[in-house]
Formats: sequence, C-alpha cells, structure tokens
Amino acid sequence: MPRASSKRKSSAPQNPPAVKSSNARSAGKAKAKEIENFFDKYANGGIIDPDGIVTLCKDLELEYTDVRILMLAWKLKAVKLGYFTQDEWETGLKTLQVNNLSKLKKAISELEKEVRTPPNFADFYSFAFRYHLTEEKQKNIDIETICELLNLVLGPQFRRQVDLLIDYLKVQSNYKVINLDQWLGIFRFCNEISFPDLENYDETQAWPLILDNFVDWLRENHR
Amino acid sequence: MVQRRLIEFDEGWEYIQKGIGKLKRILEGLREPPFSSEEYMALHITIYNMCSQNTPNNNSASCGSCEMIRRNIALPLTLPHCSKKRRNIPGFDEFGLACFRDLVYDALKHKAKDAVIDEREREQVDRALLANVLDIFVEHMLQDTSSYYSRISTNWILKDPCPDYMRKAEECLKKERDRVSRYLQSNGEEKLVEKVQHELLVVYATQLLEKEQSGCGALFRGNKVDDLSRMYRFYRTIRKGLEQWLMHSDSICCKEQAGAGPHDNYMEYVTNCFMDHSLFQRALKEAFKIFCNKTVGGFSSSEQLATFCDNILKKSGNEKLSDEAIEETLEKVVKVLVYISDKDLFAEFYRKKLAQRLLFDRSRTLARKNQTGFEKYLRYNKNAHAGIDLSVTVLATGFWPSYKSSDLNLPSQMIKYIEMIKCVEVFKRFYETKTKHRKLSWISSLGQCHINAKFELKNIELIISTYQAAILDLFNASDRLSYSQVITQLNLTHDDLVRLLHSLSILYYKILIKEPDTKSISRQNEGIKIPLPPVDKRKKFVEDVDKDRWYAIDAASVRIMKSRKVLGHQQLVSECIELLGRMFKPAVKAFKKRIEGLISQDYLERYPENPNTFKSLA
Repeated sequence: MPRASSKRKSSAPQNPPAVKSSNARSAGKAKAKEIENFFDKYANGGIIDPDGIVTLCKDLELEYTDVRILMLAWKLKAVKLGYFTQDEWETGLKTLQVNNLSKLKKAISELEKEVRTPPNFADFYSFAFRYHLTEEKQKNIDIETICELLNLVLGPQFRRQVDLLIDYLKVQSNYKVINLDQWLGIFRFCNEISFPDLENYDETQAWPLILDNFVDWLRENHR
Repeated sequence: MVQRRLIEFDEGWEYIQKGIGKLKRILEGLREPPFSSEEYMALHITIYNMCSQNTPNNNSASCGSCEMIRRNIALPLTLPHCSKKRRNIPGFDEFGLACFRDLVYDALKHKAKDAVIDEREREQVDRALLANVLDIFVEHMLQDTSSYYSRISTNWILKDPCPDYMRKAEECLKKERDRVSRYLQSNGEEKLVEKVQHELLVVYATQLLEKEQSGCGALFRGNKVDDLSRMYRFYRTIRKGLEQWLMHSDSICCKEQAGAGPHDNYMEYVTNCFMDHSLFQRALKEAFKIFCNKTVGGFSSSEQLATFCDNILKKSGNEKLSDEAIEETLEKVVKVLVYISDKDLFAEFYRKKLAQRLLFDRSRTLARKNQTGFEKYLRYNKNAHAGIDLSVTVLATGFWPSYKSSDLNLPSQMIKYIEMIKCVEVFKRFYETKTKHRKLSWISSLGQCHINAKFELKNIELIISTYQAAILDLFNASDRLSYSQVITQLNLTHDDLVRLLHSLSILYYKILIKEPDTKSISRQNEGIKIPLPPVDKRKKFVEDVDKDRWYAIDAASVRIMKSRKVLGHQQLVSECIELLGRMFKPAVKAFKKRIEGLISQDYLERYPENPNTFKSLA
C-alpha cells in the first residue's frame, strides 16, 4: 500500500507509452481537440467544478454520489474534491482512450472492473481518503464523511463489516475524526479478519486502537 | 469342489465328543493312549467340515470350544478357514480368554473386590491370598477403588470441613500405599495412588479450597500453618492440582485487605509450609502484583499506600509512635511499593499529602519560628500594620513538593481586598528583611480565614477558606454581584468558583442568597464552620498523572524508534515497558493511543510492507 505522503502521480498504475508515429500524432491531435471540446462542455472558467460534475453525471446517467464517479476521479488522478482540471481531464481521458460521452460511458464500466483488481483497489481505497482531504494540511476526516465513504467504497464488498463498523462509529465517542492510518487499518481488517467470528483478530498486533475498540464492542454487543 | 456330505450337528457332535473325552483324559493325566494320526485327522476333518459348511449347518461358533481344545494339543493346523473367513466369529485366543473371563474371572472378581473393600473397612483377610488373586484383577481393582473413594469423598466433602477432609484424605492415602505395597505389583501402586488422589483431591479441589468456613482462605486468615502445609503437600504431587492451588491462593491473597502487613505474613507461609517451593515464590510475587495493583473501592493501591504513609507520619505528632516503629512501618511500605506498578501515581499522591502535611502540621515546627519573628516585626514597625492577624507558613522549595494551584487574583487596585493584600505585602516586607533573593509564592488555596460576620441576630465567627473569604469580601462592597462579576474580580476557574458559591449559598449555611443568576448578601442563619465540599482532587491527580504518562510514552517511543529506525509493534511495546517500568506500567491501550498520535504527528509511520512494523520519521 502506498505511503500517505507519497506523490500521488506515482501511485497510479503505469500506462503503455504513447505510440509515436507521425500519423498517430496527427490523429492524436484531432483526438486531443475532441477531448478539449468535451472538457469545455462541462468546464466553467477553465475547470470542471462541482456543477460541471453534476451535469456530467446526469449525462452519464449516474448519481453524483456513485462510486464510479470516485473511480473516475481516481483514474484522472484528481487532486481537489469536486473539481477536474483541464490537465487532469486530458491526461486521464487519453489513458482511458476516450474522447466523447458515449465512449466515456463505456469506459466507466470497464474502469470499475479495473479498479476492483486487488492492487488497484488498495490504491483506489487510499485515494478515496486523500481525495476527501480538502484543507491544506488536513490529515483527518470527520466520522460522518468516513461512514459515507466506507459505505460507498467498501460497502459492496464487505457489507456486514461495514454496516457494523458504521454502527460502531456512530455510537462511540472517543473519535471524532479518522486518520489515514486508521482508514487503511479498516481495509486491512476487512480483508484479513475472518468475520463474524473474529477468530484471527489479535489485539497484541499493531491494529489501530479504534479497531481494538470496535472488536471489543462487537464481542460485547453481538455475541 | 466335490459336494461334501452334510454333517448334522448332533451327529458330528457325538463324534467330536468322543475325541474331547479322550483329550480331557489326556489333559487330566489319566492313562490314555495318545491320538493316532488317523483319529486326529478324522476329528479334524469332521470339525473342519462342520465349521465350513454353509449355513444353517455352519457350526463354527458352537465348535469353538472343541477347536480350542484341539489346538491345545498342539496342532496348529486348525481352522484358519474358520477364523479368517468369518470375521464375526472370535479367533482362538480371544475365544479362550472370553471363556476364562466368563467362567473364572467374573465369578471371582466380586469376591476379590469385596475382599479388598472388607480390608479397607478393617476386616482381617488373608493378604497373601488376596495378593495372588489381585494380580489378575489390577485393572478391575483400580476401577473399583475409584468408585469406592468417589463414594466416600462425596460424602466427606459435604459434611466435613476442609482441614478434616484433608486429614482423612491423608490417612486414606497412607493406608492405600501401605496396602498396595503388600499385595500389588509395583506398577500397580502408582496407578492406584493416582486414582485415589484423583478421587479424593482433584475432583473436589475447587470445592475443597473454596469452602467458605474452612477452605483455603480461612486457613490463611487463621494462620493454620499445619493445615496449609498438608494442603500444599497434597497438591504438590499432583501437577495440575498444584497449578489450581496456586491460582487459588493467588486469588485468596488478592482478597486480603490492604496494609503493609500481609507481605510479611505470606513470606513466612512460603518459607515455612510450602518448603520454599520456587513456584510458590513466583506465585506470591504474582499474587502480590495483582493484589497491589487492584483498586479497592475506587481507590488505587498507590493512593492508599500514600495515604497510609501520610497517616503514619501525621500520627507521629500526637500519638506516640516511636521513630523506630515509624521507620519499620515505612520500610514495609517500601517493600510493598516494589510491587506497585503505578509508582508515578504514588509519587504524585505522596507529594500532595506531603504538601498538606507540611502546611497543616499541628505542631507547626516549621512555621513557629517565622511566626514569632513576624509578630516581633509587627510590634516594632507601627507603620507596618497588617490590619488583620496573619500567620504564614513558609516552606523553602526544598520542602515544597510541586503543587499546581490556581491562584487568587489579588490585584492591588481592588480596594475590597486591601486588607488581605496589605497583610501579604507586610509579610513580604518582613520576609525580605530576614532573607535576600527569596521569592514568596502564595498558595492561597490551602489558606484558612477566621471571619467575624455580623448577622442580624448576632456576630458569628466563620472559619472558611481563603477563597470563600475572598468571595464574602466582595459582598462587603456591593449587595448584588453577578456570577461573571465574581469570576472576573477573583480570577478563579469556573469549576472552583461554582464549588465555592455552592458552599456559600446552597449547602447548610446559606450566607449568600442565590437568585436565578444574581447573588446578593443577606444575613440569616447561624453558622460556625462553612464546610467546603472537597474537590474531587483524586480525579484530577489521576488525569494529571495520565497526561504525564502520555508524554513519557511519547518520549520513550520516539527515543526507541530514533535509535532503531524500524521496529515491530510488539518489540516497541516491550522496549517501552522496560524503559518506563520503573515508574509505571503503561496500559497497552494507552500505548496504542499514543502510537496513533505519533503517526498523526508524522513521528512514525506504518511500514508499507508489514503493517505490524513501524518506521521512524523523526
């Protein structure tokens, strides 16, 4: 799993190098133009802002809270929550080999498969956290957002764990925010710990305290 | 295969019978010519045929006994067919044994058993005979012994107190050993004794040890060294029992009441009745650790121990405790302190107690000198009139433990305060004449004031704390003051002020009348001493200590990680505990909490390849 502080650019999977024939270059130029037009359709003042994303979602026939939008953001290596810059848009769409709406629609369902493969998913998972850090030097995300995010990102895969964890996060009072380490710990927990018996959970290991507490709570309330 | 003539059982049996008759005679040593080969073959074939022909004429089962007999005459040719082909029919050896069991053993075993029981119940029996017989019956006898003792122990456990039970059990074991040595083979002895021990001691161990009136705990309480040693001797031999016993005595030790005494007592037990068994010393240590670190009624032992010391040292003033006695008791305390893991907590409590003791010391040996000096100073300096009587206890910082105190605001522009401030100023000046370069810091939270209050009916002397006096003093100037006015004028914390106002307006003596959010002076009721509800200082101490511990854990972790760069979680924990163990034992949860903090603060990070390992970023 990549470090929290590592450069985001390096964390996405490598794409095949662009083909460099002159033909391809002119075709590429045309494509680049199309991508630019595609961008302009949603952009407002040189950037796709939240309104633009809502419109885009409507065109893609997706809810804007759909996990696939988050996946698209991951693929575009978007930095700021709710915005796609022109640069992000163009590089991203090029790697997706997409230049219009219908292609993007198709690519997004492919993208979901790509994200669900293990190494990508781990990267996507930590991206989801970092993407929601909106303030300068912000390191934590409030519990409420975390619950929604968990539901969105891990929900389909680990329904029971996520439901119980959200229940717990809402009743506990020790934590108001979650940091990246805890966030990654949750992912590791869902992947490694047999559920619901929690047989292989070992408190003497370096699990974040919040998970120790969660396990205590589970053992008390759900046995 | 040629179809053989079918032999009917009766017909065959008659023939075989003759053979058996002959065989019997041979076996019994009568004069009888040996079997000729023809005779033998004929017999064999008949039996073989009878045994191997198809059902319903298969007679192998019924012929088993003849087979056995034939085999005994030493012709091992017989009946592989019979025993191999038809598995449901017992083989020879088995069959023979079965016969023996049914005919001889069953008939005898009850008698043998009865004989043993009779012997147990003290009837004279022929031991030599019994010994011979019992050789065969070892297994059976063991079983029987079990049930015998199981029966009587059930009986005893119900009606006998623990020491009696143990005495009886000891007696039984002794006799059983003795019995065994006389008529059982040596390998039987161990087994038998084991059985008896199991029935008498292991099965009822818990019940026995926990007997309320007479169990282990009672023995400890009653200093019954004899019985305890017996108990120990029993359970020493039984491994599992010993462990159980240890656990039990642990918990018993734990239940014992606090004080400095128990350690000595138990030490004595260990050396005297438990033969200094190393396990016991360890157990005692463990037990003591557990017992010392338990909280009794919400008070941690650290605190209790501090209070205990305080009481001893306080007593030295009025009750005549000799210096030696005090010294001795304190030495015991130190011994116990070894087991306390929260030494930092003890230190904190002790410091507070020391502070109080120094200030409230009735003999005031430390303060007296100052006081007489101050009085003299006042007498000779007419212009330095203090206005009110003031006695000050001055302690050099060397005596003075660290004492956090929120201090009263005594601003000089506040006229109301003038008297108190004047006092303080006068004393300061006096102090400066005596010493140079010494700074006085006032701990008004520990002060006490005697105030003459003029109530409507009569004047009453109030004995109150300095803080309370300060509040009342405010109301000398105005009749009504709001809470916020009081708090800004006195510079007290919210918690303190609420407590103070509460004591003056809501508790027994309502000196101030409280209105929804205004307070005004009125005179009513008579009061002498206004009790101030004690702050729950304990909670605050514990919080303070906890905070100090956080820093200690942080510092230790960072230090360890700086030198090690990369370290597994568990190693980090154990190294930290080692580093900090002298002062306290960090709880694992607290530790994890700090690690979480250190990760957020970028001192540490989880090692990407192994989430149980940390890497130093500092």
